[in-house]
Amino acid sequence: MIVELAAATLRVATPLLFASMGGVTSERAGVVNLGLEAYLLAGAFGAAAGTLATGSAVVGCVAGVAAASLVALVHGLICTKTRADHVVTGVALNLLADAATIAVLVSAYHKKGATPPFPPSTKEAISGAAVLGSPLTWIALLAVPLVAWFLARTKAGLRLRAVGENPECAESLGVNAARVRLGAVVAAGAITGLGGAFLALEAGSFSKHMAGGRGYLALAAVVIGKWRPGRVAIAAVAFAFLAALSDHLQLQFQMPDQVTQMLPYVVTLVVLSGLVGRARPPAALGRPLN
Amino acid sequence: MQVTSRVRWIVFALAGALALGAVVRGPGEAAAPETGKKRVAVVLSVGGLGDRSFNDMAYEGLQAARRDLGVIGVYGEPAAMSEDERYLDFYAEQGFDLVFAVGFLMKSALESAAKRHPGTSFAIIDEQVDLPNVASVRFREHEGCYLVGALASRKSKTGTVGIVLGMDVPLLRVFEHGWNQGVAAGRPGAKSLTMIANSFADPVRGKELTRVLAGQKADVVFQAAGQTGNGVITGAAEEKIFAVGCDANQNGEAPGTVLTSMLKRVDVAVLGLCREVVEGRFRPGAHSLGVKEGAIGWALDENNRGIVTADDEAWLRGLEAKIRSGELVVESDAPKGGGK
Repeated sequence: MIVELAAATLRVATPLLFASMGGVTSERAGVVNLGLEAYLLAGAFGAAAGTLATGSAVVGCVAGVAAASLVALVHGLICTKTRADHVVTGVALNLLADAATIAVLVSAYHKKGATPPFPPSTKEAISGAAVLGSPLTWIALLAVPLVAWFLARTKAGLRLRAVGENPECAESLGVNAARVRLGAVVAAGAITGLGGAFLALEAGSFSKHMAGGRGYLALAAVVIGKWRPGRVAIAAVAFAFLAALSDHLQLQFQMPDQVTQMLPYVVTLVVLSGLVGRARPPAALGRPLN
Repeated sequence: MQVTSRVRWIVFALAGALALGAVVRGPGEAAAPETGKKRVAVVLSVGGLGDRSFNDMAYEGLQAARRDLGVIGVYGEPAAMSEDERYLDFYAEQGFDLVFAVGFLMKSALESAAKRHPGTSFAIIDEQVDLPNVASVRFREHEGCYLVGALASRKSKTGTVGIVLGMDVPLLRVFEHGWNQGVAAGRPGAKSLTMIANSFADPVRGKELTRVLAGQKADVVFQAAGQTGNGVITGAAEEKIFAVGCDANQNGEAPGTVLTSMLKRVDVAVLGLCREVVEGRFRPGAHSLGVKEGAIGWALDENNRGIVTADDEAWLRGLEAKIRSGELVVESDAPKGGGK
């Protein structure tokens, strides 16, 4: 039971970890990212298209990252070249991605709900059934210290944070704030795209709406974790654990699912309503550049 | 300047999203009336086409009606439940002869629409709407669930089987109850575990629930969960246990993994009602379809021939015949307080 629960937690956490690390990267540069859901969908779709075209899950992952990065590039351009509200553009992007993936699904595969299933060989290669879980799960876990290191220790990371705190000041020191923000958003897309690829490879096909709110949950983890990669990762894994636990409780203790499935959300509300103390977002978060 | 630029971008982004949304999801153009041809519209339930199941079957029925009866048929896919009524109204206003609401979720939307358009004939699948212009099609799914449940426990090695429900709603509890009766009939003492996904569109979650069930020794899992159920089949293949498909024949989704599928011939219902309209004998009120009417059954084809032996088949056909003759009555309502 413990082993099963741990394995389930890691599987459920994988897309959340990718998306929340993407969220941290973007938000620390000052771009509020409600578009994570769109990146996940684009990543899942790209991964499905790549896997179906080549029969290789690895190529699928690359295609997923590319598709999500492309969506993020559009998002980033809107957020840096205009003074558009970040929250509104993010929500619009999610609606757009939801509809666009279906539109492409129809035109490319003549199916309205899901791509054809992947060939069995690709499923075995990368799915969570492998003894040590999916390689993507390990990459997700590895992404956390990498993002933390990048933000804390590298020149680019410092610049990124400077732009998130005070873009005018960063500009005065010769940093191109718009370019840094654009780079951060595209990087967020690339990282989150891997989460989308994981969803598609787990399901063995792309099906519409399959992100299922994971992007929003990841964003909640970003806020609960106070925009710090380590804490954000803990929040994401905690969500995943609660989700996995609720499934086991439902089955083993015959608890009503209405109660068990509330768990992650109740915890979010309780934690957000002050249990973790005051969160201090990046000072220029959501503020368009001049 | 700043404000206009910002507004322009927001409007642009939203307009883009809406335009694409309209292309994919809008009620679409109403087929122009042609002389003498009956016009039928099918409004699909949330999830839309591609569930390889419920909605796809309704669509198949519509296609059959176009082909066999020469009706003009269109379909609509509301993006959210809140849009159902708009779709139903739209087709009624366009003067369609018969408008289908596919799915129990559309009950209240259909009630309002049918009251507003008393001259239009409506049909709803899986719900009862007592209005003079509405035909209510109910399937006796519990009969089919009984049959696949009986086969499942007969083929189970562990004596434990499972069922994944999309949501905790009365209709799916009826599925569960029929399944449980079948499970008890197929193997005395067999037990069944129930899990609820709370989503019809999340295959990754369906797969996770299947793993949880497999961890509890369930070796046959029945999905009644739309696209979430596609993940049940993927998960069963990975855990090397059996899955049971739902509504449409899903045996081909993973040959060797899908033991059988509970068939709910929504297409038979749609085609039947279209025929009534074409022949001018549309009958509002309750229509009950089950094993006897050929609208409920279980799937046997080249994909599961290797798993279902001739013995199994003969035994199950025996149960089927008993249900058809009325000798065996499958309960549809769970006893009060019984089960979860």
